[in-house]
Amino acid sequence: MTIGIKVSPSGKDVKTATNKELILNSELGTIKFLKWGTNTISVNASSNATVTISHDAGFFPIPLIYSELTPGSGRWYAKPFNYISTEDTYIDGNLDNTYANTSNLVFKVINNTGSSKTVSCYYYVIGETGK
Amino acid sequence: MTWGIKVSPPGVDVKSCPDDQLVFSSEFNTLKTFGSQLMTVNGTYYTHNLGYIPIHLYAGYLTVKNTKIGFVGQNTSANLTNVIATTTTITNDNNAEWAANALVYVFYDEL
Repeated sequence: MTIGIKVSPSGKDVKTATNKELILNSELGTIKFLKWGTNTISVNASSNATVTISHDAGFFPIPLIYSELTPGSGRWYAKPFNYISTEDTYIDGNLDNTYANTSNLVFKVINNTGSSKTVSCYYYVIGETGK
Repeated sequence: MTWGIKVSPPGVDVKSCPDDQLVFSSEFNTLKTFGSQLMTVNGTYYTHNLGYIPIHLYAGYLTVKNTKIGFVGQNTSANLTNVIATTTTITNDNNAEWAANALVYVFYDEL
């Protein structure tokens, strides 16, 4: 007999539910978040800023980032996204500037506007290898 | 009384903390891994045959820039790859100029 945990939703028999129907099955892997947090980046007018966040995973993790490109706008964009003309500020999509390695999460914020901006970010480092 | 499991991180009261602070709650579904497949530059079909389009997750990388990995779905200017899911397979469109790879995780859970 294999020891483990299965959890099914209310009204569903845990002994007969399919893997798709189960809420949890300890025989199957699930994604785990290694590190997460928020960051506020000040970027001067017509300038850019590179952010480095340490995760120290020791492997190449799968990164996620959500950003509010205009302070207080309430518009949050999930990276990746195409250039957004109304924001005129974006996170560089070039792998040389926006990437993760075995120890850090790095991204470059580019401000094309004529005034300084404060960009807010939520970042998540998923504790599964991406390569 | 509703039966279930809740797990909170150290220092957080599992009985009173909001749901977003919990490490696990059986009131919410979790992604359950079906499998994973490396999608190579030559295009690799991963046949899952689940009969529905599963939730999938990947981050791309380039063999010519082997010390970096991209963000989820990152492509275009980074020349990474796109990944396409159907009810039977996961493929990559492999339009990249360089050797773009993606390690794709496929979950039992449906989009």
